[in-house]
Formats: sequence, C-alpha cells, structure tokens
Amino acid sequence: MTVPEFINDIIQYDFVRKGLFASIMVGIICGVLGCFIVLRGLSLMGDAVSHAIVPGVAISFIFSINIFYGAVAAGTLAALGIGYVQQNSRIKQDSSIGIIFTAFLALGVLLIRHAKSGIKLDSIMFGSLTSVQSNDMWLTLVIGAIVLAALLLFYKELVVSTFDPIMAAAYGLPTRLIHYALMVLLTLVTVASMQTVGVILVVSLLIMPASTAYLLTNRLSIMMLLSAVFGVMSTLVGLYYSFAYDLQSGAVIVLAAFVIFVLAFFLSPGRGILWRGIGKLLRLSQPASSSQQAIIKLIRKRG
Amino acid sequence: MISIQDLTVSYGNYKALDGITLSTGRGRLVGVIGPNGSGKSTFIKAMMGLIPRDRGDIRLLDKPLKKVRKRIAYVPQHTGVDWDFPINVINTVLLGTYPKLGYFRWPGRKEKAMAAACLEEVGLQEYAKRPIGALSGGQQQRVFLARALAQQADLFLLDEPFVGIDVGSEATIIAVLKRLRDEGKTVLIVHHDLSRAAEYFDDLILLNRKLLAYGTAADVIEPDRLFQAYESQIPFLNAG
Repeated sequence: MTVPEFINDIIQYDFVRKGLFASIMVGIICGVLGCFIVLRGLSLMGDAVSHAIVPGVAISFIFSINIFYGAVAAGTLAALGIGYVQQNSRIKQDSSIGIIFTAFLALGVLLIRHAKSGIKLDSIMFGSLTSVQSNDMWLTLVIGAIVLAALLLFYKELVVSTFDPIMAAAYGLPTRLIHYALMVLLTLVTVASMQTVGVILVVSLLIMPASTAYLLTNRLSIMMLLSAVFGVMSTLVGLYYSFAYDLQSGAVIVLAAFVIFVLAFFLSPGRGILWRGIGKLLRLSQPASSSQQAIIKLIRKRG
Repeated sequence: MISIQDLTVSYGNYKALDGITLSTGRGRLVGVIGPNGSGKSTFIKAMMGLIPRDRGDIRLLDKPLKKVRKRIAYVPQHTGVDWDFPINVINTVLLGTYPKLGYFRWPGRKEKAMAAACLEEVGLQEYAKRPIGALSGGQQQRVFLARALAQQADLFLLDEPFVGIDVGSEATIIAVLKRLRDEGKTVLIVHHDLSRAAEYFDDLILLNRKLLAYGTAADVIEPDRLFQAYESQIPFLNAG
C-alpha cells in the first residue's frame, strides 16, 4: 500500500481513522509526560510501572470492570511497593524495581490466561493498532485530557521539584506526593498506549522522543513540544506499517522513534557528534592564533 | 528569630546532631562552622524539616515551621541540583516567585520585573537568556542567590554557598548578604572555611555533632575552642 492509498483508507474506513486518532493522542501524551520522566531520571521506574499494570488489566477483565481502575490500582501499588522495599531494607532502587515489576508482570501473564475474555496477551504486550475500538478511542481521549490538564495545572510545581527538589521541599511542596502522582499519570498513559505500542514497549515512547528533544533544546517548553512532535511522528509511522504490511505496531513505533533519536544524536546543530567532529576539523585547519604564532616565531628564532 | 530546643538527629545508630539548643536575634549574619562530618548541613536541613529528627522543637521567625515556610529562602548545596535541566538563567530566578504565587497562579509582569531586578543585583543581567548549565559554578551560585532574593524572604539559609567558586562571585554574594542583614533579615550560612569566618559573619555557631560554641565571631574563633572542634582532623596536633 502506498502512502496516498493509505490516506485514502483513512478517509474511507472508520477503523483506520480510530487507529489514527489513537496514534496521535498517544504520541502527544507520551511525548509530553516523557519529558518529566526523563528529566527526573525515572526511565527505569517508568518501565517497571508500565509493565506492572498487566495483572490489574487481567483482574479488570475477570470482574468485568473498566481496565482503567485495575491498571491504575496495580501501577500505583507497584510504585509504592518499589519505594517500600527500598526504604525498608538495604536493597538498592534498581534491584527493588526489578523485584517488584517482574513479580507483577508474571502474575499478570498467568491471570490473563485465566481471564479467558478473548483478550490476547500479544495485543496487550505489543499493541495492535488495527483493532482499536470506539471505546478504546474514548478512553485514550479521556486519559489524554486528564494527563495534559494535570501537567498544565501543576507545571510550576513539577518544574521546581524536578530541577531543585530541595528548594521545592523547603518551601513546602509535597515532593513525595508529586512523585507518586506522576506514577499514577504514568499508569494512565500506559493504559492509553496499550492498543498502540503495548505495555512492553511503551516506555520507549516515553523516553526516546523526550531524550531526542532534550538533545535539541535548552528550554523545557520547546522540549515538550518537540517531544510530542517526535512521538506523533513515530506513532504515525507505526500506524502506516501496521496497516500496510500487517507488522506489529509497537515494534515499528519504537524503531521509528529510535531512528529519529539517532539522527538527532549525530546531527543536532552544534552539539551532535557529527557537528563536534566538523568543529574539530575546522579548528585544526584554521590559521594559528596570534599567541600561537608568537610561540612559533620564538621557537624558529631559537632554532 | 530562630529558636531551637534540643534538636537531635540520627542516621541509624549514629547521632549526627545531639541536643542542639540555641536562639538567634534579628538582623544577624550567622555562620555555621565545624569540621567535616560535624553535622552542619544536617543542622540546617533538620531546621527546615527536610530530614526527620528524633526530637527537638523548632521555631523560625518566631512561629512553627509550617506557618513560615514561604517566608524562608533556602539555597541548597551545589551538588543537589540538576544543572543540565533545560532552563535559562532568568527563568531560574523566576522560580523564586513561585512560593508566594502558590498553586494555579502564573508569574505575571510584576514577578518577571522582580526576577530581572534580582538578577541585576547579583550582576548577571546580561546572562539572562543563557542556559543555566552554561554558567560557571560561581555564576550559578549567584543566580541561586538572585532566586532567593526573588522569594522576598525574611530568613535566608544557605548551604555551603562558597564551595568551589571564584573570588569575584564570593565577594558579590557576601556583599548582597550583608545588605540583607542591614535590612533586618537574618542570614544563616553553612561554611566550610575558617579563614574568612571572622570577617564574614557577625555570629558563629561552632558544631561538632554537639553545639560547642555560639556567640559573636570574635568570641568563637578562639584557639582552644577550635582545637576542641577540629582535634580529630588535625593529626599533627594530636601527635604532639
């Protein structure tokens, strides 16, 4: 399928439009929230919490309640559990993350089998853009609105507590509550992204566009904007390939995000590896500075 | 202004601070000195409730801490901050207006004008648009002082502001702090270096897990007292 044909499909078929809508929404919210995850050094934590929602999803299916509730409960419980193990033992944070999230994920895998509700483990894990339903779309929209509103309303507090957590605590911000609130937002975003990238790979959509943007700007507002743009670009590439070639959307999205990251890493103006290399070459080929010339003269005289 | 009763802090079984009791007056520039590991930083962190304490009653600006947090400006140690954060100098200073703005209110023209004025006071107005990470350590410390000024606080707490900074920045910072003192504010500074202590501060708090001395700088900087505090860190004195 060519790109024009694909655009034609978007216009013609409702289910393709739903996929498109979900892709754009997920690209935006992952990109924006991802900035705070990256700046706070919570990538590993984000990975853990996103995986840990699986048993919550399964339990929601078993009791036929909205997956929203189960997922948020499981994700929050995992985040609290990680903090609890770390604070009440000598176990370091990375191990504590590894212990809790793998246990949650393993439980989730068994429970999903048990749920027998027609949900495929595969589509939760790796995303399946071709099967986005109307209610999935609405869920994504509601979650997106909640996440963006929360980030906007508490933008000041998020900035201070990320940049200088000690000042934030000193003037009375509830820094621990902010941390757990971000973890709740993270579980929400994971739920919204389940259909698009799946829980295994959602963390990359949180980290890669934000990291790419981080390489390109020194302003947080621009970083968030660029990150959202890169996120949407990645999900759109994923959407196209999953419809045109029946590939797993999650995997394509991650690779698309990775390509964008690699380009920025090497080419980012003034700072990318390539530019620094060119800068070095230019400096080498430049005529010597006046002080260098003076030294050279001195050496020649002596010689 | 500051009144502390029996402040005790432990890390596990280790008593970092033991029964500190003292009170200071208004309009003083107070240095907190003592050898490495004597609990200087712990002292001001515990004062602000940033670390849990075993016991102790703390009143700042003559009120319980909870009620006066927004009237206190706290400048953390240089290492406690993410200097790669994507923020420029003037917006860093603007953060100082956040405590008084509270939730859901955005900085307006008034706040931005104040941030600009505070930045000018530390002599860095031409760096306003630079990313904070592009500045030298001394300049970064001056930006943080400007941020503290923007908080329009009545009590200023600074944790090791002079570590690893250039002479010019140190002079600028101490001049600004002295002016604050002259305006009747109280300034408390954790300081690592004894050499300038008498010249910089009105009063000194000498700590080594316990309160060893508190009084005017000239009284505290006295050989016997310092020997008692620094004994363990001056091995050649012990040997003799």
